[in-house]
Amino acid sequence: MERHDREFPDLPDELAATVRGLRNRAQGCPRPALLQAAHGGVLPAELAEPVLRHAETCLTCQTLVESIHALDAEPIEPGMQQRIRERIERERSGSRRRFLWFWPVAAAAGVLIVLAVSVMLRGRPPAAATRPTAQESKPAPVLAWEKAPIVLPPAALLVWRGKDDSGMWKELQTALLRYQSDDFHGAAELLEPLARKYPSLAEAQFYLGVCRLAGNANEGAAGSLEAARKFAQPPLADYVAWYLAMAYERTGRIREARQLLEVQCGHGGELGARACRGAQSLR
Amino acid sequence: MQDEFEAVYRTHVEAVFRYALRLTGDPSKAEDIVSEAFLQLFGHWGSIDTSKLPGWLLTVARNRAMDHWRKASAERPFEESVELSAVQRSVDLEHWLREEPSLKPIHRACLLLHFVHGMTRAEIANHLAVSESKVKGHLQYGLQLLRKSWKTTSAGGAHGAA
Repeated sequence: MERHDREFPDLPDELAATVRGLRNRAQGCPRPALLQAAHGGVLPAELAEPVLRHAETCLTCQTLVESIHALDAEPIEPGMQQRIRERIERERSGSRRRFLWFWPVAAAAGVLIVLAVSVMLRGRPPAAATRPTAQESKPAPVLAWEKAPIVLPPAALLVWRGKDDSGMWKELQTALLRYQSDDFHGAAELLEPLARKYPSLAEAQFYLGVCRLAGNANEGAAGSLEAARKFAQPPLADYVAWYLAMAYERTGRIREARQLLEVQCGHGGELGARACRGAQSLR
Repeated sequence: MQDEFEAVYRTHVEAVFRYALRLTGDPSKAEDIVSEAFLQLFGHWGSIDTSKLPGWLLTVARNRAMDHWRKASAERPFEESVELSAVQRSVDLEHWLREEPSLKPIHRACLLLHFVHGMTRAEIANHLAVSESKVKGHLQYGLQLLRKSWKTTSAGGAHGAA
């Protein structure tokens, strides 16, 4: 009669001993998660190197990695799929609520500031129109200037929650209210010191660049937009690339403008399509 | 946009989850990564060419998995033990697990995690994101096959499953 092992009750003794032998040997193997991460190339080099060296000569580890890799096409449990869906929906609606709350408050603050400024300026001679004239904003031969939309990161919301310790976003907001009302010259005057004070604040550099382009200060615009490019995250980064290409074109750096647009073209979407057309026109 | 996003989600969520799970070995971390990848996609919806999916999502998942391992500073570097490597290897069983044509990858993974890494059924189910009852079935099938192969070769006088 077949005798059965305690640890492997489903196996006869001799087979159980063989399995135990394999397990003993595997005590020298890395744990599965580490093995999988090393093979997926996501482990820091100092952790990955010994794991990969071991796996090169370990048939058991190789089989495990390959078997788990082959499971990529396996369906996941419906419960898991549902949980992820609910979580995304929750976070999406949370973020929508935050933004819905932001814009009415921002609009109200904008109106208050405009009212305050108009009261202060009452009685003074009318200021010169600040919207760029056709002469000032002489359109580039190919890439035509248009007002960039206001794209702010979620951190900018902190200004409304009293958590803007440095006052950075508050200053940016004041400048952007001028930008919003097409006072590009006034906006640039506020953005210049802000960009000097916070050189890595991509939004300040970007809108300064856009305002300078509006005033045909193209060399300065290229400098600001190059600074913005270093720090901008998507989706702002896509806008930065477009306006920097415009600045390059206006300053005669056509090849650089085209290169930028060609990269942007590969990103797809509406901005990508515009970049594709721009790159084509610059050929 | 809502419908399009929903369709993209349904098409790609499984692949992104499986990929994240493979890179982290941790279902709850994989869940975090997948949620984050789709939320990023939602945030950049207008600027992303959907024909580039799921590549874009997989890149986000990969980057987040790298962050996860970078933060896992408590992870001890793996050190291969020379003594343990020298232990008598169950070479035949090792080959059988790799080469037996009747085993599917899911059977091999379950058997290896159980035999070699000593994981319980619940731990394997968690690691592979399948139900415990499925793991039970896969292990039963694999063990049955192993016993049969073992009996056949033992009867032939050889010690091993291959």
